[in-house]
Amino acid sequence: MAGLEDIASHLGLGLAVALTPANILYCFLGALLGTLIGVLPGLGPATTIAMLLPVTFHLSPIGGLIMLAGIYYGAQYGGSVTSILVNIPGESSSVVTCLDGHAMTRQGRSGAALATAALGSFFAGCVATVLVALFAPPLTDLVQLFGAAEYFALMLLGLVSAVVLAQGSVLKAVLMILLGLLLGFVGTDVNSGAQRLTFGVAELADGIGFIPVAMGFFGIAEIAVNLERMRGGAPQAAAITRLWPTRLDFRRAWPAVLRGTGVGSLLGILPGGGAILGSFAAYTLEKRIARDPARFGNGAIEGVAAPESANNAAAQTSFVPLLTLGIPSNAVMALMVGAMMIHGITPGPMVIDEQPELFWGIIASMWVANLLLVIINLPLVGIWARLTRVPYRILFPSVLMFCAIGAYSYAHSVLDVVLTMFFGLLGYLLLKLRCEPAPLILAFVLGPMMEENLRRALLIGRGDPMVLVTRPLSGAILALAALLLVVTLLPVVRGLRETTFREE
Amino acid sequence: MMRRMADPDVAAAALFAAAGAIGIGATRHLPVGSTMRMGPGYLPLLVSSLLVALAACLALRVVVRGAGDEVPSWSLGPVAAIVASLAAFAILIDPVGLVGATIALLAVSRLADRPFRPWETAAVAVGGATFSALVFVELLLLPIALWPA
Repeated sequence: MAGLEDIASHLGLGLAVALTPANILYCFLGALLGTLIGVLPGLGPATTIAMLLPVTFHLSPIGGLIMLAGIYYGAQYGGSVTSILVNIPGESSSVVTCLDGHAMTRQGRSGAALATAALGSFFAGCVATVLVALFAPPLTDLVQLFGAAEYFALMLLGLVSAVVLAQGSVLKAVLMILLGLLLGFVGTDVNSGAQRLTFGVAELADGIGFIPVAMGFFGIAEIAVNLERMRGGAPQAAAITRLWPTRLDFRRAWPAVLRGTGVGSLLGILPGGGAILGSFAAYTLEKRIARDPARFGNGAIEGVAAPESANNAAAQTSFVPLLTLGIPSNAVMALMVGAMMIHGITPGPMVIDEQPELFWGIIASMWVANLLLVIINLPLVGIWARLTRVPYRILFPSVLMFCAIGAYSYAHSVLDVVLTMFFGLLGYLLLKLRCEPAPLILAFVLGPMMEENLRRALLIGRGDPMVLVTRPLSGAILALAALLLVVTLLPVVRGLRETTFREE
Repeated sequence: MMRRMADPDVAAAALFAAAGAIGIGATRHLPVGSTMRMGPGYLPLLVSSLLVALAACLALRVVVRGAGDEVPSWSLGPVAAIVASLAAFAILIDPVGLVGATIALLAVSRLADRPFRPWETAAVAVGGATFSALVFVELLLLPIALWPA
């Protein structure tokens, strides 16, 4: 763990970067745009980020990533607003917020629920920022010991966790991972220069772009499914009442915020963790320890405070594996890897030494974004509430337009638009067949890195696959991955997993 | 038997197996190499074969377990309109420019909504095209032609 002065100087460096007028502006715009899109029913953080990626291309790498992080937090907060007011979660991490958040709305306490979500998230964000600053440097030191075998093992662990956390059938999640890996193989093989799966299309020699895959699976496919469900109409949103929570609310909420922050921070760091797991675990914990569990689902403020703090804390700490190892732990982080690569940065342990301004700037801007979100959201919450009533038939063409222009503008490539369309259709079919896109995206991003590391590890080990197991660190990680997979397949855990995801 | 064919798992299995088969077909000619020096074909072939094998497991499970009770309801109108709108954009963007392509995209995509509202569609198309021209080209300075060259 780093010394206190180190942390202070690191965060000082970061704040110096994050608090330049331009970067504050990017952070503000990101948080605002993120909330604006995230609040629209049915559009979660992954969709929002995929849609807004192209807006950040023209900024400097630091500015672009700060804006993206702002978009992410904003979208997450926007999703909470929609969950509380309209009972439509934008993504799985806000499903639990719907339970008590919307119950509070029905009781005319929507204002208190929204304020609790905002303040709890802010508190969690502050704590998580410090935790990231605390744990990132020692982790990067640890990573120096990693060889190709360990990298491969760790990425495999990430994929296994994605399987474990996916909703529904484990077998389907594994198949989605394989499909993602296959898509990642498209392009020129780095070692031999051979063309793989390009089907003679010259533009595919550099591989399938990240943007068409992300936009197709998270933008287009989501819209197609939502459109069937909503049939163009507008959901009914409740009006907002008195914003400030009562004293009783406060007394009940703050311990829940503390526990949520703890649970979320911890689960966010784990591979495959992140916001979803954090919010589910925090909600379950609150219900377990409550004196009167029957209040939950009927507008218990702890049921809003804990998962909201947890998902924000986890959203932040899930940057730790990304920034230190270069390994995304969930779909949103996979989108961040794509964005960093587009800006010419390869995420990994080198970033902290080679580009300290970027590294600490992003971390400091997490805190700035959280502060800005409170400032933006408390006064503007009435506007957000009105936005949740935009009819879907006006909304979806605009999202399509964003995706099409975004896909085209990155490389002036008509092929990218066609690919976006294709992956949108494929993603729609898979969603209808109950196959979640998150494992696929993760595998698509990790695949090329895994192949490279596996090849290198086997070359060093003279072709003996046992090298992956006999190196202690990589062996331990692989054992953990195997254990995780076996445990998931046990009938007891399977039942538990199904009930957890069917939420209460 | 028909119930079984309609099971979402059977359709998913067919989709994954097709992807695996395409993968095998397209990388068959690539050198496989050895575990020590993997050729470009090694992992793609492995992954594609696994796709086919596990897809078979998925389908077999339906046979063993019987059809699930959930058969997804399909209404293909919306998704067809969405695909058509993106196709229109892809076809038009180079020859016609951003304004024409976005108007086409927005107008076609609105076919997904029933009943079709012509005035609202016109407003969405013109408004969206104006917005994208102003924001993407004038403000963000993306080098995209607005009008036919």
